[in-house]
Amino acid sequence: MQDAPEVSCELVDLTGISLDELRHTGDESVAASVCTMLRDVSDPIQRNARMSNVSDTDSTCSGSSLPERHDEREPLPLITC
Amino acid sequence: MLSRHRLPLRSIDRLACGGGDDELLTLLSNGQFSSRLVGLRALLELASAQQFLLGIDEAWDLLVTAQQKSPERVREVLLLPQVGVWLADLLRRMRGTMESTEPLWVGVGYLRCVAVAAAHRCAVEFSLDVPVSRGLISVPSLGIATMPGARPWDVARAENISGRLSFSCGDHAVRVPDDENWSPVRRIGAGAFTPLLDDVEPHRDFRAQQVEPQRLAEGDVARWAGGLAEAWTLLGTAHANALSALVSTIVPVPEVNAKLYSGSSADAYGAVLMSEPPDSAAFAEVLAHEVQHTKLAALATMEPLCAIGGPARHYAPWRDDPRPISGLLQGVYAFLGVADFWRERRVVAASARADFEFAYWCGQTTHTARILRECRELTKLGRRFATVMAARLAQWSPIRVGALPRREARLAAQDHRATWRARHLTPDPVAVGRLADAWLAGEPRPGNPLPPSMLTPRPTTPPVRTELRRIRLWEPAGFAEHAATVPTATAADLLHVEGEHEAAARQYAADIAERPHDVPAWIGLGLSDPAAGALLRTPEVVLALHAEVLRRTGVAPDPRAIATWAGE
Repeated sequence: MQDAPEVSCELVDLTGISLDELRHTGDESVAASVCTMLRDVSDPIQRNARMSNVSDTDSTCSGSSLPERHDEREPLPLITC
Repeated sequence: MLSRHRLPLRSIDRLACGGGDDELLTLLSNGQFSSRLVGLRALLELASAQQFLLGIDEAWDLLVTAQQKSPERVREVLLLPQVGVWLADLLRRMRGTMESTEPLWVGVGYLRCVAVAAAHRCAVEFSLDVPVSRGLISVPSLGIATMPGARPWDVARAENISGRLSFSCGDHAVRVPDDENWSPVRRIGAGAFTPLLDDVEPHRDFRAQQVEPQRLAEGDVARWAGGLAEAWTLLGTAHANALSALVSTIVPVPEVNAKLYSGSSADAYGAVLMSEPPDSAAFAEVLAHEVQHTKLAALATMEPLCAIGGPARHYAPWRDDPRPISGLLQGVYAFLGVADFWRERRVVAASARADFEFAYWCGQTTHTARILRECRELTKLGRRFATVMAARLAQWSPIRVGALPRREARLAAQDHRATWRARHLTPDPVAVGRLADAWLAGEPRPGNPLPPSMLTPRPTTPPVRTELRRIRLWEPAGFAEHAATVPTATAADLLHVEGEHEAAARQYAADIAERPHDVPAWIGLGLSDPAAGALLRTPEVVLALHAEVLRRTGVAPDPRAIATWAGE
């Protein structure tokens, strides 16, 4: 990677196709990204890693100036720091 | 076959430094758009196996029509954080990992509300059935219609004719924008940053599946707008550019535990939840913090930076509990942004507050970044990102701030780390037993170094001394008055923060005699008594030794004496 000028990401680039094309495409890379999304979205650990300022304890993401948020739904995620 | 997103490494390096050029910000936004489209495709596939009262096809057709007229406006709507939260939660519901009292057909039908928002923005005429959820029709970014006479879960007709949007259900209609039952989402602005101030949309708060409207009065909106305008002038170019490019919505929420709250979520890409800050600097700091999370979450959506769910847990200075690698990564990046904000502030307008916040966060984040870059759970890109962050922070380490803020920042860092150790580390009991033998025999402390410890996470409470330090630095004249509002501060804490160290040490020792397990008192003693430095280096050993001697003899040893002995 040190020498590579760019990173080829896991995520398929859908910015060039229309919603109509998206509806009908049988592209394998779309299927793979859908599969990854459904896997992640079903995983509470992944969801928690997506949220900031949440925890399973009374702690805080933001030092002593910002307090901890309170979960209002059960197994739900934030970008946790 | 469709191609994958590609990101230039040089741009990623600049992102890791805390900034991000326009090209990369556009690429991050593109990645989020692709991710949102993947989510919609996933919804299409999951929904195709079932029949719903309000199906998906008509909504999708309307989105296609709108996109043909204005792709950019449809993209703006699909990228809304409210749409992201709805979509992610709906997919969870359809996969069986989340429950809701809302019927599934209403959740699926919300795609029609998304299509209504897009088509209205694109000036496409339409007539489409939409779901009523809890008596409301929500049109993301536009507003909510309260439908009189509607059942909690119902179907209404949305029409956009000659540019006039309206909703009808039974005998009742709501005509946008002037109807008393229509509550528009308002927008506040500062320079190039003109976010929605969303106080009504049910999916605006990612912490809950759906929330009730909390309509702000016009005066409140004006205050938010004024606060943002002032905060905007305090932000550097990098933070301002990123906010303009990536953040579309500010969601006002109540304080938590009577303190400022902020948060963001990758599900709600583009949203910053925040309670009303006390001043413009706090407002700007929150934005600088949360936009860092937004950038990193966008990057991680495109390419993983670390494994999620690994067992490793580490010290993190922004939290009182041990954190996983993903948390360290997010936190280092967020607080690199916070340190950068205060670094710039102290150049423009020097103050004890800016000095303290910069020194504290730069020092603490530098410490954590060095740990992070060695973590095995990082991916190759994640390690590169962490290494660049650590190098950036190291560049700031030589910056010198005023003597008092520097000293207070050092004490605050020692306080937090030592408290964390005392709470979450457990020393080897056999080695502690040997120490107790030696203490009781009146011998010098055996062994060097002190025994190793294992991580055993326990419940925590936030430390109060750092809050007291901030009050004393910012408002020295009103310290006594303001310190009284810090609920769990002790007399010893006040003495310590006021610099009365010997008196504080005596009071802390007295507190420990009454409450031998009072961790903050033990660490306060370590901060106040130079001879008790072991309480800052290995507090868990001193506390365990004290407890062991008490257990064997029934008599609590002098805390100052045993801490001094342990440090010899």
